[in-house]
Amino acid sequence: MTKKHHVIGKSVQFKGGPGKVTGRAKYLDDLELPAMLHAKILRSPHAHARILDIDTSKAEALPGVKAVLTAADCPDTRFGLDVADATILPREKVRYAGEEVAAIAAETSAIAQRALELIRIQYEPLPALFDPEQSLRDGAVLIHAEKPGNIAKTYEIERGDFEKTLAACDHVFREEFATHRVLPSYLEPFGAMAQWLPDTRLEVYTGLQAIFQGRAELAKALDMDPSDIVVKAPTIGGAFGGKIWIRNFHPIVALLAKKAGRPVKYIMTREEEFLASRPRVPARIKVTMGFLNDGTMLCKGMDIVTDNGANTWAAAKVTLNMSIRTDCLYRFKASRVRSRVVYTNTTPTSGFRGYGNTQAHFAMESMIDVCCRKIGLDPVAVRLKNASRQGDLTLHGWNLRSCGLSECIEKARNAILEDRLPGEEDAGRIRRGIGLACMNHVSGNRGGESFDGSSSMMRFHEDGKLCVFHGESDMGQGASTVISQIAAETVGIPVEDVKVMPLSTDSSPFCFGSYSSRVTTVAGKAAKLAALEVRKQLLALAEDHLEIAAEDLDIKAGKIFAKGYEEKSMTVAEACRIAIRTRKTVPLTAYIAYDPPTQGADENFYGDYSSAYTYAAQAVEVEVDTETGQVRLLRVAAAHDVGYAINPMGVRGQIYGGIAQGGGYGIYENVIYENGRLKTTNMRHYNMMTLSDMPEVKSILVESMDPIGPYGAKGVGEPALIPMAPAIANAVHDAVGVRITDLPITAEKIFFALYPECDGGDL
Amino acid sequence: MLSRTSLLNIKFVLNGELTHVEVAPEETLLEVLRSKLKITGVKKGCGEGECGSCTILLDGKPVASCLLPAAKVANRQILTIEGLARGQDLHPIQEAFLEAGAVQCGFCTPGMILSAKALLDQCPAPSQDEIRQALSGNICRCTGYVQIQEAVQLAGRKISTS
Amino acid sequence: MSAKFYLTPASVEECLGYLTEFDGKGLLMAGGTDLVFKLQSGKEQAEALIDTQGIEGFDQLVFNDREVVIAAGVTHGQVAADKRLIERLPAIAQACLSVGSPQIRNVATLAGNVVSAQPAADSAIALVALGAEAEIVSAAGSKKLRVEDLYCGLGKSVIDPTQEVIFAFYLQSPQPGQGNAYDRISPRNALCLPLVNAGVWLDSEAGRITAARVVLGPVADRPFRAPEAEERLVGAGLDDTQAFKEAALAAARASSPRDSCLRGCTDYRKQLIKVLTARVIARAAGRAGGNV
Repeated sequence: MTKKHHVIGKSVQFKGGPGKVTGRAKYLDDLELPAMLHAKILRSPHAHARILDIDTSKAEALPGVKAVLTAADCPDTRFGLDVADATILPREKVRYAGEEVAAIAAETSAIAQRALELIRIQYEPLPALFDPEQSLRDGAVLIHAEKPGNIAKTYEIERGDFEKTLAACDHVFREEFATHRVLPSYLEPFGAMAQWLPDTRLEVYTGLQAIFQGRAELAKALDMDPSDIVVKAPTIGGAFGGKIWIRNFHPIVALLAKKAGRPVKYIMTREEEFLASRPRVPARIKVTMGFLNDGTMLCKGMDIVTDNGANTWAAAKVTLNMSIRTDCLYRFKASRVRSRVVYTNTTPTSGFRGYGNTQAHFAMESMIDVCCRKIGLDPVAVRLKNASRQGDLTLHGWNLRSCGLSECIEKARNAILEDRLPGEEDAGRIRRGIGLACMNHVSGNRGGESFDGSSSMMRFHEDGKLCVFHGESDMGQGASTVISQIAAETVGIPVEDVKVMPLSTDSSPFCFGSYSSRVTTVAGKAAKLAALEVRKQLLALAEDHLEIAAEDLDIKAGKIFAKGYEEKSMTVAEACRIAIRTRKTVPLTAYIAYDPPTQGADENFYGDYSSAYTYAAQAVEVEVDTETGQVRLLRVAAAHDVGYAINPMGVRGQIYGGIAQGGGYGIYENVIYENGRLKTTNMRHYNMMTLSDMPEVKSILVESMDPIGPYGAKGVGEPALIPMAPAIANAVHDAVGVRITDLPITAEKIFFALYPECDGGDL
Repeated sequence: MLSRTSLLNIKFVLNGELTHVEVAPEETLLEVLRSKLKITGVKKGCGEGECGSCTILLDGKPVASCLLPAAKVANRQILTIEGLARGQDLHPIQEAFLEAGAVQCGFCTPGMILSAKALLDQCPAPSQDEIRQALSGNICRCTGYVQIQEAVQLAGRKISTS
Repeated sequence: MSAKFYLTPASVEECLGYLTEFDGKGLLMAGGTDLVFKLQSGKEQAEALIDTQGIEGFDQLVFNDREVVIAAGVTHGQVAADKRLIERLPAIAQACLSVGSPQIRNVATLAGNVVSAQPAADSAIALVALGAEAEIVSAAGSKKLRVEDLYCGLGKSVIDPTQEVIFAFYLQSPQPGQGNAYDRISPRNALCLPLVNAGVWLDSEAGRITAARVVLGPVADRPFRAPEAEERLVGAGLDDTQAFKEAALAAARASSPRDSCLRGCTDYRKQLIKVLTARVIARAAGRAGGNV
C-alpha cells in the first residue's frame, strides 16, 4: 500500500454508534404515531387446507377493535419477485402452517390478541407435503394448481462438454450432501408501522434492507404507484438477508391502517419469527467431480433439489446462485447442473447471508476433501493448484479483475498450523483436527439489462459539513460509515464533517439495497464519484477566490490550499459560505447514478455479472469428544480478499460475525419440524452461538486491489459466513475420520458414525 | 405493605432518580419501562429471557426485565442504559464499545453494556473466562463477540486509569 | 383473566394468611422467571400474586457443621457464588451455575425450580442427589419431605402453590469420606437446557463406598434415581473405575428418555447417560477420597 490515505484504511468509529450505546437510537418498536393502533395476525394452524368460512363477527364486536382484515378486504394482486405467486391474504386455501389468514388492529396488543381468538375459521385439511421428495412424487397433491409437479423453477446449465470432459478424467467421484433450515434470527423482530398521509400517500416505517425494492413490491401488492408510497427505515437491529424483501404483513398493516383510518404498528413476536420468517433454502445436492491423477479438477456436475416452501420468494435466485457460482472458484473445464426449486407446505424459504453460495460451498468444499482423501492428495495443495487467478475468465464468463484466492488459502493454512494444539488429549478421548474450505462470492450482480449500481447524492451546508444521501440500508454492518469515509477521503475533509441522512424513498436517491455484499463496492463507488463532483465544484470556487488554478490546489482536513504553498488557503467551511450565502451561487451538490461496467448475465446465465468477485479461505481447528460425539470449535483462521479494507475494524467485525453464524450453521442451529409441526419455537431450542461458544479467531485481510471497486474495495459481508460449515466438516473428518454430509454436524450424527453398532443396539 | 388494588403505585430509583409509576400485577418491568416510562433503550428481543436484550441492573445485578414482574422492583434501584452516561459524557464502557468496534446493529448493546458494567463493578480486570461467563447470557448476532470481549477489557483499563 | 392483586408478605404467617384468604386463587411467586411467562401465555391464572421475596429469612444461606440451609428465596446465583458450597457441596454450586444465564441465575430460586417440577431442572437434580429435604409450610402446619418425593408427574409438583409454601431446603453438612458432583451435557455452553444431567453423592469408609445416590435427568417425568446404579456402587472401592462404568451402564439401562427431535433419539440419550454418569461418579468418588 504505497498511497497514503487519511480516512480510508483506518478503523474509524461507526456512524450512529453513540446513539446505540446510549439507548437513544430508535428502532421500529421505539417509534409511535399519535392515535396508533396495534396489529396482530392470525396464522393458519394447518399446513395445507381449504378455507371454507371465516367468521370475524365476534372479533369485530370486541371493544377496542378498530379494523379486521381478511382476503375479501384485499386487492386481488400477485406479488413476490420473479415468480410472483404471493397474495396478501389467502382466498381459497392456506399453504403452510403460519401463513397469515386474517389480521386485527386494536387499541392495545392485548385486545388485538384477544380478538384473534374470537375469529372463527373453518378449514378443510388437505394432504400436506413437507419434503421436496414427497412433492416430486407422481400424484402428489398440487400446492399451486398452475405449477405441475410442484416445481416452481428449473435450471439446466452446461458449460463446455461435460460428458466428454468427465470421460477424460482419471477419477470420478459421486457424493450427496444436504443442507437444512436455519434462520437469520436477527435480534430485532421484524415489523412495520403504516399511516396514510393527508395527501392520500402511504407512509411505512420498516427496517427493510432494500427500501426501493420494498416500495415497488408493496406497490404491486396494493395496486398503487410506487411514488405514492414512502418507505422510511428506522435504526435496524440486524437483518442478514431476512429483511430484504417485504413480508405479507407489510401490505396487511397498510390495509389495516386504511380501514381504521389510524396509524397501525405490527411487530412479530419471537415465536412468530420462528414460525413465519423465511428460512435459508434447504438443498439436496448431488455432486459429481472429475479429477486427473495430478490433482487437476477437470469438471463438476450437480443435481440440486431445493425446498421453496409454499410461495416463491428468493429461493429461485438462491438456487440459481447455488447452481453456478462454485464453478467459478476453481479452473474447471466443464460443468453441468440441473436444479429444481420445489414447493412444499412449509414456510416460504428465502435469502440469508450467502444466498445459495453457502449451501453450494458446503457441498463442493466437503467434496474436494472427500475426493482428495480417496486419491491420496493434500486437499489444500489441490485447492491451490486449481484456484482461480486474477485475469481468468471463468466457465460462466466472469472476468476476475482481482483475485486473492491463493494468498487467502496459504495464509489461512499457515495461520491454523501455527499454534496448533496437540492432536489428542485425555488418552485419546479428545481428538483434534484441522480443516480448510474456501469460497468465492460476488459484490452485487446483474441479470440481463437490470441496474446493478447505486446512487449517491451529496450537498454541502453553509457550515462546511457534507450531507450524504444514499438508499442502501445500514443494518449495523457499517454502510453509512464506509460511505462517509469514502466521501471524506475523496473530498479531503474530516470524516466527522460528513453526515449521513436518514433513509427515505422520498429523499434518498434510488438504490437497490444492502444485499449481495454489494454496498461498499457499488454504493461506495457512487459516493466516490459524487464526492469527486462536489470536490470539483469546491476547487472551481477556490480557484476563483484564491486566484490559483484548480489543478494546483488540494484539499486536506477541511482546508483548500495551494500545493507547495499552504499559507495560500481557505477553509472548506468558508468556501461553502461563499457558495451558498453569496451571489456566487454554487450549488455544491452532486447526484450520481452509477452502474458498474459489467456485461450482465444473459438468458443462459452466462456473463460477467458482478463488478467484483471476492474470495476467502477459512481454516478451523476442532476437537471431538469421542465418547459423546460433541464438537467444539477451538480456533479459526480466516483470510479474506476484500480488495482493500476501507475500515479494517469494520471488516473484522464482519468476519467475526460471519464465523459465529457459520459455526451456528455448521453445528448448532436447526429449525426442526416433526410431522409438520414446528418444534423450535423459541431461542432456548434454537441455539445460536453465545460468547462462551466462540473459538479463538485470527482474521487476515488480503488486499487484491480491485480495479473497479472504490479505492480497490469489494465486499465481505456474506463471504464471512460461507466457508465455515465445510471447514468444520473437513476438520471433524480430520479429527475422527467421520464425514458428515448433511447439516447440521450434530454430536448424535458423529456418535453413530463412530459407533454404528450402537444404533438400535444394546448399550 | 402495598395496597390491595388492581393497579399498584410503586416507587423505585430509576437511573438515580426516584420514580413513581402505576403497574398491574402481571405487568413485566420491560413493559412498564418501555410503554409507561418511555425508557426505550431496554429492548425486547424475545420476551422469554433467552436473548439478554432486555437486561437491566437490579441493585447492581443483571436481570432479564422481560421476566421480572414490575411490582418486584418496588423500593429498589434500577439502572438502564439511559442511566450510564453523565449528560454528554459517555461512560468508559460506552466509549470502549465504540472504540473497539463492538457495536454493529446495536440491538444487543444496551443489555451487553450493562452486563459488562456489573462485571467490571465486581472485577475491574476480568480474565477472558470471567468475561465469557458474565456475558454468556447476552446474545449478539452481528459481531461474533470478539470485539465485545476486547471492549470489556479496554473498558476495564479505562476505568482503572481514570 | 389477569391477576388483580400483588401482595408482598413480610412473614410466613402473613403469606399463609393470604393463601387462606384467596383460597386457591392466590399463587406464590418467587423469582417469577417461570411464572411471568406462564401468566402471559395464559398457562397459569391467579387472582392474587403473592411475592415471597420479602419474607423474613427467605434469603438465608446457612452453612455449619450440622446442616446446610438454603432458604426458599435463595437464588441460583447466590448458591453458585458461595465459596463454602463451591468447595464442600460442589454438586449444588455447579448445578446452579449451569442454569440459563447470569440474568436468570440472579433471580430464579431453587424453590421455584423445584415447584415447577421440570425433570431436568439442574438444581433439583443436585438437591435430590444430596438428599435434601424441603420444609413445607401451610395453614395446616409444617412438614418436611424429601425433595425427591415432591414430584407427581411431568411438571406436576406435590406442592400446591395456592396452599403451601416451601420455607427452606435442608441438606446434610458434608462429612469426611463423602463426595458429590454434578454435570450436564448440553448443545451449547450457555442459555441451554441440558440433553442429560447427573448428580451423584457418595459416602465412603476406609476407601469403600457405603452409600450412593445417583440422580439423572431428563429421563423420566421427574428427577430420576437409579437404584441399580446405586446398588452397584455400594461396596466398590473409590478408585474402581470398572464399577463406575457398570453402575453408569445400569443407570442408562434403567432410564427411559423419549425419542426427541430436540434432545436426541432414545439410543443416543442413553449413550450420553452412560458416559455422563460414569464421569460424575468418578468425580464424586475422587472427592470422597480427598482428591478434588
